[in-house]
Amino acid sequence: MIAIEWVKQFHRPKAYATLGIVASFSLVLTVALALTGSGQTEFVGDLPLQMVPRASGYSVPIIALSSTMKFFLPLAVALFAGESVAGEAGWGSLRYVMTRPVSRTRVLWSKAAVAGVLSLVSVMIITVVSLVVGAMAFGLHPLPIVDGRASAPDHVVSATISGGAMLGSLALSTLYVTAGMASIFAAAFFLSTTTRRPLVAVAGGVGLTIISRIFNGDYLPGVSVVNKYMPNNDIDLWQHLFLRPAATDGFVHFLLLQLVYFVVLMGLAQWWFTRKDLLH
Amino acid sequence: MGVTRMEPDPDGGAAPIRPAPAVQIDHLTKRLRSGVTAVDDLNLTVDEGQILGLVGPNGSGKTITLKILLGLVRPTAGRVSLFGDEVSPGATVLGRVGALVDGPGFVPHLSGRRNLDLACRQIRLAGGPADLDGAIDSTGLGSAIDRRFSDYSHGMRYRLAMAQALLGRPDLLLLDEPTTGMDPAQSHEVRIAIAERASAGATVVVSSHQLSEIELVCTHAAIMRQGRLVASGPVPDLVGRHPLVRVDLDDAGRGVGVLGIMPGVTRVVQAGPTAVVVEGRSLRPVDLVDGLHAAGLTVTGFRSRTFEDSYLALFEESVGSPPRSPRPEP
Repeated sequence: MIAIEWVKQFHRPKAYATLGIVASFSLVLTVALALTGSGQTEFVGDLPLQMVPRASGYSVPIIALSSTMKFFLPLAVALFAGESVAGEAGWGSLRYVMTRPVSRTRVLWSKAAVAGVLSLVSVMIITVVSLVVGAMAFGLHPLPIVDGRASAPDHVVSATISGGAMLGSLALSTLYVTAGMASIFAAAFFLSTTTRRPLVAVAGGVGLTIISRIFNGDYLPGVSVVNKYMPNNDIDLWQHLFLRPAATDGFVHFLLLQLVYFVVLMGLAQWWFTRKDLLH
Repeated sequence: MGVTRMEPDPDGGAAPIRPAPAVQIDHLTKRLRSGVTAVDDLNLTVDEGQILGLVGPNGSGKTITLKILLGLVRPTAGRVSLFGDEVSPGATVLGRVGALVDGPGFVPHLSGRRNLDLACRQIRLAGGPADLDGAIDSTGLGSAIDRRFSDYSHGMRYRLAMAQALLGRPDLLLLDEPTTGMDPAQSHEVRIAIAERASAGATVVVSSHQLSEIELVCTHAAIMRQGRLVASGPVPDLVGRHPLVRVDLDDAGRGVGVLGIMPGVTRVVQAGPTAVVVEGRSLRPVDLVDGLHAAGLTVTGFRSRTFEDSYLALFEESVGSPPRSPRPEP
C-alpha cells in the first residue's frame, strides 16, 4: 500500500516542483552570499549567533535552515501533508481505493508515511544541498562564531567550530527542525481528511505556524503563557547548538510539545477518516 | 425487444438451502448531515445472476445506495450485505466486487496503464486475481493507454473506468450510470461488457437514466423515488403490468369492434377518430395487425408499451395520481 501511494505522490509534477524549489533555495542563497557578503562579521537575520558567512561553507546550511524554518519549510511540509488525502479525494480515485478490501487505517497511514518521507526529504535537502554548495563556494574551513546575545558590541569570537563538531551540530539541527515540522504536518494532514480541496488543508497547516507566531511573546509580551504552548515558537532553539558552550535549554519542552500536537492531530485524522462518509 | 421472460422459480420438492443473495438490503436508511433523507427504509434483494437496473430521477438515492453497498458511506439504519457478508469499510467481501460509481476517478498525472497497474497491485495485495494486460486490451485505448489520464476524453475515461471495474473478474458489478455522455456505439460496448460479465456468472447492478438501456440489458429492475423503492421485479413483468398497445388506423370506431373480440384482449378504448388503445395479456402485434387487415382496416401506426411508459405509469401511481393511458404520440 505504501509502494502504491509512493507512485501516486512522487510521480507528480507538484512533488518534483516542491523539492526542486527547496533545493534551488540553497543554491540561490549561496550565490547571494557570495555576491553580497562583505567578508565581515554580520548579523544574519535575528540569529543569536553571528558569523562571517563567507569564511566557511558551514555557514550556508545554518543560514538556510534559519531562513526557511518559519515559513518556507512549513509551506512545503503543509503541501505534502495537505495534498495527500484531499488531493486524491479531489481526483476521485480515493473512492476506488476504498472500495477494495483494505482498511481505511492502512490507507491513511500509508499516505501519512509517504507524505512524511517527502517532508523529511525537503528539510534534509535544505541542509545537504546548502552544505554541498556552500563547500564548493567557500570551502569547509572552521567557522568562527560570535555569540550575538552577550558580546554584540565587541564582536568577540566566542568559538571556532571545526569539521566534526560542525557536522554533528548540523545533523542535530536538521533533526530538530524536522521534529518542529511535526505539528504543522499533523495539522495539514488532519485537515486533509476533512476536505476535497487540498488548498484548505495546506492553508490550515501554514495557518498554524502563523497563529503560533501571532502569539509569539516578542510581539505580544502579555501572552507568554499561551506562547509557551504554541507549537512553533521555539523552532529556532537549535541555533544555540552552535554557541559555546552549546545550549540545549528548552529542547525537551519543544520536542514534547511537537509530540503532543502530532499525536492529538494524527489521532483526530484517524478518528475522522475511519468514520467519514465518502459522499463524493 | 430482446427481453426474455425469466423462468418461473423451479419449485420442486424440499427447498435446498438457498445461497445468500448477491445483494441484500434491509430497511436501509441514510440521513445526510444536511438533514435530507437520501435513502428511506429501502428493501431490495438481488439474487446471483441477475442484472438489475436501478432507475429513478436524479436525487432518488441510487448513487448513495451503491456507495453504501461499497462501504464508502455508512447507513444511518438498516443493514446491507453482499453474498451474505455484512458490508463495512474495506470489508473482505469487497474483493468480489467491481465498481464504477460517481464517474471515473484516476490519478491525473499518471498514464491509463499506470493507473490500472496500481489498481491491480491493490487487488493482488488483497489476494485477488488481476490481469493487467487483459484489462488494458479491454479498454481498446491502443497507444493512448500510455498517455496521461488528464489528457483523456470523456469516453476514454469511462472506458478506463469500466476496465478497472472489471479487473479481478468480480462476482458482483456495481455500475453507476456507466454510459453517461457516451455515443450509441460506446453505450453498446458497455452493454456488451455487462452481458459478457453476466454470462460468466456475475451479478450486475446498474443504475441508469436511459430506460431503453435498462430494457435492453437488464433481467430485473428496481425503480426508486425519493430514497424509496417504487417497484421492482423482472423487467418483462414491470413492462407487462399495464400491457397496452396503441394502434393508429383509418377507422377507430370499426377498429374497436374488431379488436374487442380478439383473443387476449381485455379492453379496447377509442383514443380519437384514428387511434385505439388495446389492453390485454400476451398481445402479439402481428395478430392485432392481421386481424385488422382481415377486416379491411388499414393500420398506419403501432406502438407497444415500453419500459419508459411503465416507469412513468408506476411513478405516477407512487405519487398518488392515477396512471394515464398511453402518452400521446410525439
